[in-house]
Amino acid sequence: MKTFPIFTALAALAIPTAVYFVFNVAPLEVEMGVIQKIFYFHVSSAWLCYLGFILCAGGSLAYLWKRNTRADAFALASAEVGLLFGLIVLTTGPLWARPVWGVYWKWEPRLTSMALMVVIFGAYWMLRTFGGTGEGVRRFASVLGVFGAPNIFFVHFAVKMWRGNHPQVLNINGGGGISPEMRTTLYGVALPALLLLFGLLLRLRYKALIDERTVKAMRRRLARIGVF
Amino acid sequence: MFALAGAAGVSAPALAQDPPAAAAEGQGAAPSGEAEGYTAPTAFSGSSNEDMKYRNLWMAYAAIWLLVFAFIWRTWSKQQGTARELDDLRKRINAIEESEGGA
Repeated sequence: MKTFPIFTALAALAIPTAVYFVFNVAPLEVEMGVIQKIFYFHVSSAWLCYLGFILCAGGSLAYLWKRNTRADAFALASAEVGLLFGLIVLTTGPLWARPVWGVYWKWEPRLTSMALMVVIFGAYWMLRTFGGTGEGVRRFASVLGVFGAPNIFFVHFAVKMWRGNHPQVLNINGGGGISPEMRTTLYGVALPALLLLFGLLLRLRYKALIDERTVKAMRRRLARIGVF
Repeated sequence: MFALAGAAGVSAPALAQDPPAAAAEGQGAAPSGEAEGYTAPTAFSGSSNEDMKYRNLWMAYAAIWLLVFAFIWRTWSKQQGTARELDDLRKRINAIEESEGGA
């Protein structure tokens, strides 16, 4: 709890720094030009989307195994934050593609599998938001969360396995033809900054969900003793 | 929130730059790492494509901050409602405990 303001302050510094690096330190890509500047937040968001869905699967597994409601709240919070970053990926990607590929969207493997994964976790979120809070809904959603996460493998390796149009998978040693300054901007600044934001949003959402459950539990107890 | 406002401030001057007058030929080349045998849909060149790059870059960064702000606002407004409800319940419990203690 005490570390929350420290992380907030760090994020407050890291995010403008990341934007500064993107626009002032990373060089202009020769072929794509200025539109390539989307890449730093697009790629980082994609990884954080994966992370959110992996954490959701972890929380869902813990819930299915131990019936721990905190794990269930963690799974839901992770899915929501993962979905936010997934939406960022699906918004910034087409905006990059239009001037480079000439179209906003192509039904190629990486794009299609990513859209499918976001739809799966979108269904998870819809179920949790509009399906009530019953035990059956939680269990069904948890199974969806567990079986939705392995799709990350297909999304990530879609470019290599099915040879789509999407640029190559990047790794920590480079790949995809990026310069050292671009790599520093991506791995050293943009990704850590968005990771901090991810952590803060996850913490906020998890706390909100736990508080909501506390209120519901208190209401039930008061109703039992006849206050309501 | 401050971080996001700062980020918007940092990116605004860069995004407000005028695009170069003439774009180099062949800018529509498909991104590096494309599959063999793939042919780029159309060759996009000229200032209109360069304008589109600046416009889309601006829209992408605006969309990122908009989505993040919307998420924070939704979480914050829900949290405010929950906190109010929690306070109300605590007051009721205290009132019950006081009335039981007095009786």
